[in-house]
Amino acid sequence: MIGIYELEVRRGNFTLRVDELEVRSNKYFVILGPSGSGKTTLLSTIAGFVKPIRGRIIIDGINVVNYPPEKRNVAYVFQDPLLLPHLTALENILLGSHGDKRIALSIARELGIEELLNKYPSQLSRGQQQKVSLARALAYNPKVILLDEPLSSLDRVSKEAVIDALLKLKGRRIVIHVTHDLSEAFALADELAIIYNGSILAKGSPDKIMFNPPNEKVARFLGLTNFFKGYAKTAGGNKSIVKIGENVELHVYGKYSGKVFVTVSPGEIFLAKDLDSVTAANKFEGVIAKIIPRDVVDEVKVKVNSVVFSVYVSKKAVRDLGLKAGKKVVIAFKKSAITVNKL
Amino acid sequence: MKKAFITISLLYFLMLALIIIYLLIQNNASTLIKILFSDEIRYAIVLTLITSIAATFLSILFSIPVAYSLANYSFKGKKAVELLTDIPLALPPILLSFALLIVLTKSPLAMVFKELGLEVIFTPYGIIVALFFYVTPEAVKILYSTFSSIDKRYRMVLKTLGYSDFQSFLKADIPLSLKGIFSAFLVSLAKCIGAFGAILLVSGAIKGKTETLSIAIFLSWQGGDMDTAIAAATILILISLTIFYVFERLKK
Repeated sequence: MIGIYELEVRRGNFTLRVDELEVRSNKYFVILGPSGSGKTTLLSTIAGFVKPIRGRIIIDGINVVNYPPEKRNVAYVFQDPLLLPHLTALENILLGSHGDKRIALSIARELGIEELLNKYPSQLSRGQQQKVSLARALAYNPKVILLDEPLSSLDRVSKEAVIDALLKLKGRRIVIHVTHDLSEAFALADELAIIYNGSILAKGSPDKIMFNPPNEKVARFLGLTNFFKGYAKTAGGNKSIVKIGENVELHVYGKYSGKVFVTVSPGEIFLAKDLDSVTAANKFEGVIAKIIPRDVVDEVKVKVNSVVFSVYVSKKAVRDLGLKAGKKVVIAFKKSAITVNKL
Repeated sequence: MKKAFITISLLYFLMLALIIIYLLIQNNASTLIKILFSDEIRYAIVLTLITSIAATFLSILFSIPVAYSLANYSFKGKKAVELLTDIPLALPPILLSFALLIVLTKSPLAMVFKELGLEVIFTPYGIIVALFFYVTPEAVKILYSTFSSIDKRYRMVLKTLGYSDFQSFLKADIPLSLKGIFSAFLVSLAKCIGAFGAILLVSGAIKGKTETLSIAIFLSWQGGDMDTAIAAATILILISLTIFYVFERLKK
C-alpha cells in the first residue's frame, strides 16, 4: 500500500496539500485534474524529485519521504517515452531489469512488443515507444508505477494500443496515473481522485464520483451539466422534495432537509409527448433554449421556468421530432436519475 | 542587398583562400620534403601533437564536471565560476602565458615544484599547462551548451529505475553528449595545435626543446630561415584542415 499523509509542497506561489491519500495494493489509481492543478507535482513528490515542506509518504510501511528517487522503488513513466536513442528497445528495457534478459524478454512478451526489441527508438512509432518505456518501468519490478500523462502525446490509434498495455497492469501492482483526460481516467481507474488547484476535491470509485459528485467544482470539472443547488424537505417515507427554482421541484429518494446540491444525469432525462403520458415522478413542460451538437448525441438545452436542463438526444431523434430552439417539449426523469448531496 | 552581402562573403572567402594558397605555393617540393624530415621539424611535429593531445585530454576531463555542474546544478559561487571560465576568452593569450610564467617562477607553487624536483617552466610540461588553461574555457563553453540541451528527464527516469546520480550520468548524459564531447575535443585540439602567444613565455621558445610548430615558424622567421618557416606553416595548415574535415563530418 502507498499512503500520503499531511503532505505540503510549495513550488513558487503554488502550494499542493494532500491530507490523506491511500492507494491499496494492486489498485490502478487515477488522479484527474486540469493542467496546473498539481498532478505532476504530486507525482514528482512521490518519486522523490520534489521535496515536500512536510508530510509522509509511506510505501509498504516505510516512510520514504527523505529517500532519494533511486531508493524508493517507484518507476516513473513520463508523457514522452524518453528512450535512450543510442540503445535498442531491448537494451532500453534491460536498463529497467538491470541487465536481466529473462525478465526483459518476459515483459516484452507480455506487452506484445517482442518484434520491436531489435529496433532503435527512431524506428518506432510514438505508441510503440511508449510501450517500450512502460516495459522498461515494469522490468524494474517497482512497488509503484507512476504514469505522468502517458497517453497525452499519442494519436487515437496509438492511444488505444497503449491503453491495452496499461489494462494489463491492472490488479498486479500499484499504478498511480495522472491525467487531465476524463475518458482515459474512467477507462482505466479502479479508484479516482480529482485534484484542483493543489487540493484533492474528491476520491473514490469512478462510479461514485461520476454519479455522486461531492460538490459543484467536481461536477463542473467532470462536465456534468445538470447540477443544481436547492432546498430540500422531507415528503414522507423515504422521499424528499427539492426545490431548485421557481415552480421547479424534484422528487428524490432519501430523507433530506435544508440546502442540498443535486445532479441529474443528462442521459437519463427523456422527452415525452405530453405530461399525461408520463409516469415518471419528475416531469416538466419546457422550451428548447438551444441544441448543441456533440460527437454521438446532441445536447438539447430545455428551459423550465428559470432552470435549464441538459438532455442528451440522439441525432436521429432530433431530426425525426423536428426539435429546434423555441419548440415546446416535455421532459421527464425518474427519482433514481437524481443524486443528492448535502451542502 | 542579398547580392551585395553574398558578394562580400565570397570576397572574404577568396581573400582567405588566396592568403593560404599564396603561402603554400612558396614551397619548393624538394626543399619541403627535406625540411619535413629534418630533426628539428620532426621534433616540432611530435611535440606539437603530444602536448596538444595531452592538454586537450586534460581539458576535456576537467571541463566535463565543470560544464555539467554549471548546466545542471545551482550552487554558491556558480556565477563566479561562470565568470572565471569566461574571462580567459576575453584575455590576450600572451597575458595568460605571462601570468603562468610569474606563477611558475615566483609563487609558493613554484617553490613546491622546485622542492619536488618538477621542472615545468621552459619544458614541454609547461606547454601542456599553458595549453590546458588556454583551451579549457572554450571546451567548457561547448560542453555547457551540450549538457544544457540534454533533457533532464532521461536522468530522472534512470534514477527511478534504481540508478545513482553518477550511474545515470554515465548511462544517459555521457552517451547523449558524445557528439558535443567530440566537438569540444576537436575544437580544443585545433586551438592547441596552433597556439603561440599562450605558450610563448612559459615554453621559453627554446629551439629543439620547446619548439612546437607555431614556435618553429616564429624562430625560423626570426633566424631568416624562411624555407623552414614555410614548411612548418604548411604542416600546420594540413593538420588544421584535417581536424576541420573530421569536425565537419562529425557535425553531419
